[in-house]
Amino acid sequence: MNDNNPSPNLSPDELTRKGEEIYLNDLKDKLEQTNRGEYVVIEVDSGKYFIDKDVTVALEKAKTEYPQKLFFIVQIGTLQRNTLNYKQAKNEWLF
Amino acid sequence: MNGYFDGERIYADIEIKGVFSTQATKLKGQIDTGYSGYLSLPFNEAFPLGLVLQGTQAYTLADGSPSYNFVCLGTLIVDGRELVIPVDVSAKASLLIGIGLLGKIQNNLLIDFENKKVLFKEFKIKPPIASKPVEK
Repeated sequence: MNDNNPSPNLSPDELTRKGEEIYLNDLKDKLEQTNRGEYVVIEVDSGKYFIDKDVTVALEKAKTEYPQKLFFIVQIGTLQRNTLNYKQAKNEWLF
Repeated sequence: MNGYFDGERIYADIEIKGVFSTQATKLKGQIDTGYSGYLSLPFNEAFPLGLVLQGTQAYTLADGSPSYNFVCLGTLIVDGRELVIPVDVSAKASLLIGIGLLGKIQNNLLIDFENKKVLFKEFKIKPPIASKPVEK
């Protein structure tokens, strides 16, 4: 599948779960050393990410490369690892 | 931008519209200086605006629990200017105006506690008056 195709099967839950995994496993430690307080916008299928102090600028960078995609967004330093272990009902945050 | 102070909470009037909307909607939001985002809206306020979904966002609350919301882009109209801002949307959200938005509009927030008034205005801080050396 082309990287730029929308992901019709990726629900908000799946997008968030994949985004959390990428951020917590691959990016958190590195980015908290250098970019704390800035925003990272992650394209979860490719793992590519875009950083800026202004979230709208980071989103603009991401959308320039992936205009059809939805992204997972974190303000660096505000998401902790224990989030993955926290018991939460699926879709609880939606409704 | 008009602001209000009820003795405990600070509110402001905002005008916002979706990318494809021509008509802006007026909303009254509470200013939350502990909220680093721009604007948070519950579903029932956000959907009629036609905001464009960009993705999801996650963060950890002070008690260690995770919190999630949708992130949309909307157009804020303030003092005749149009600014594209991120809007955090979730079912349980309150209509909050965060520090990010106050920074974006580059105004100063002045609270007159005595008269319960709020002002958003540009002001320049005067440089301190140079003190004269004490003559002995």
